[in-house]
Amino acid sequence: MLATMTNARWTRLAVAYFLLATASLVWPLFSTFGNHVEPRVFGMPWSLCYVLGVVTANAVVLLGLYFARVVDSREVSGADGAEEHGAAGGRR
Amino acid sequence: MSEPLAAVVVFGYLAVALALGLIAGRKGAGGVTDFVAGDRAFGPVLMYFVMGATIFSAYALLGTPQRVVAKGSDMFYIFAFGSVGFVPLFFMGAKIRRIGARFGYVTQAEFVGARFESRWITGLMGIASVASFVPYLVIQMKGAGIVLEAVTGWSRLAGAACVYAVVVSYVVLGGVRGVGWTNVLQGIVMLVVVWTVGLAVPAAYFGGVEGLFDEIVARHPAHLTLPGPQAQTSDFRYTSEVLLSVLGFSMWPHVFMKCFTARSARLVQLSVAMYPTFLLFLLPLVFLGYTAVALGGPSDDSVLLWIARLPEHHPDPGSFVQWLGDHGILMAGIAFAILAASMSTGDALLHGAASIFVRDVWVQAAGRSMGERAQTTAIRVFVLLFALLGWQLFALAGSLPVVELLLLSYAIPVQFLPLVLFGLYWRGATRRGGELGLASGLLCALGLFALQHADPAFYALVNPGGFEIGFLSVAVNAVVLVCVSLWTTRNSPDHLAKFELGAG
Repeated sequence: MLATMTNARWTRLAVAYFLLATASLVWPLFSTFGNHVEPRVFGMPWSLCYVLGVVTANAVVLLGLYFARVVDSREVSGADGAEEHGAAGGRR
Repeated sequence: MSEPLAAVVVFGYLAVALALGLIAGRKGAGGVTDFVAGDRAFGPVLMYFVMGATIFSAYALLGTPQRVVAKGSDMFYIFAFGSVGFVPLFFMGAKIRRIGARFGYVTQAEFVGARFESRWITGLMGIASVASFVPYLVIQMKGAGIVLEAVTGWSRLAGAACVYAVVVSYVVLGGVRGVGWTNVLQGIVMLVVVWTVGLAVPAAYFGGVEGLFDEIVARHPAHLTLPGPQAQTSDFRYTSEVLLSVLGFSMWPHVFMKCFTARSARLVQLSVAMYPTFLLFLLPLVFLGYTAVALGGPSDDSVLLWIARLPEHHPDPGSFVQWLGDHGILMAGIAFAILAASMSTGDALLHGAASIFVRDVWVQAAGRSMGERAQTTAIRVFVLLFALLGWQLFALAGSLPVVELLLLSYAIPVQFLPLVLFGLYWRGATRRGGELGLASGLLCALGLFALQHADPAFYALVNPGGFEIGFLSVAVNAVVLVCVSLWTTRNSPDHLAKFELGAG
């Protein structure tokens, strides 16, 4: 199924992921799942680890999207933008 | 000299930054696109540090540990909004860069004004952008003044003047390339110093990060979760802070403009994807903030300098930190990092404000005809004028509500979001819709800000939920833009096609 997904669908999926990631950082999700001292990870309180976990997950997802070239990866060459070329491997 | 080694490091660093800026100025074609957007030729290293170092200001460096001391885990909101705040540029940045390269746009306001075919939008965004930069610039100058006062004993005003004379020199002579090259140096300095000090200090006094948090859990547990000490931050307040910052983060004009400097559209996306690694540099500042909580440090913006003098009032003989403190290295490193943070944001603000004022307000909105060379010269003159204005406001800072103005300035960039989003992705967004949406958003922000200070009781009735001003204003802005657009004439299909809005 993943192999047959179009770029537009990947983009929608990515937007949905980041909306969920944002929701996880505010009330009520953060208050319920993140705003605790325990369990502590590497000695740090859970409230800090939870936020750092979202930072890390978002970075991984962004890098994955970048290397997969599934979100608007077209280029324009030359200052006048006369010539465009599509991204290698991207289905439009 | 109060701190001889720190003074040598600070002045040596200023000399290196000046030299880098001068060398950068000798590269490139020399036109206005070169001065403002670096001939759209920034590579991955420059883009990474320009994006990161520009955003991490003296306010972040001085304010992060201060916020931990004063409000505890409320400070984590910076990680929260930082982790998603740049994401819109991952989706939009490539398109912005492509269109900018095709039609020669180098500022956010001229890009948006062109989409809506409105010089009025360009001018209003230009003025609003410059107005939002000024309090932010004053804070950077304050950071530089604090450092020079600590290491030389000079007044803060004289210290800021000395540092910003160097900043103005490399911005005027080097343009955005001068800003970029110095940002690489400043970014590396910040990362190295902050991580070294942020791990060494807790290790010296608590045996490490785990020991530090053992102490906080035992004696100051309120600092680890919301609502924080004295229950200052409700869930509602925290949510509002995070959401406003998420919406506005990528709309800061001096950040948005950097999409036009990238060598390629893909590079804009890579810079966004790499950004969280820069965000993690705040983590050691959190450790230093909790160290100050545990050891009874101050709760104002002197926390970091208090940490630099920690070995004097909390000696720990034989430790690495004591050795650093005894030899003046701790103060030198921290002063160096604060100065780097101040300069790396201050230079982008000065460069951005002058470029926006000349390109958007003077040339586009006022319709003044200027050649490339004349525009570049005018931008250089305005870099100097804005620096003088910032310094003058810093001199008056005791009688001016700079912090309050800074809060208002955060409400301004988010007003550009509906225009950028709807302008890029909705064919139906019209010129009148954009104009009235922007005007109503900005007026709403100004009106609520004035009401908040003139009549707090009435303001509480108007805004019973205590939402951020920018949050309410951007909602008004978006609603007006959409409603007016539905009733007014669209831009022509040919024009929309230029902005990659084909039929459909």
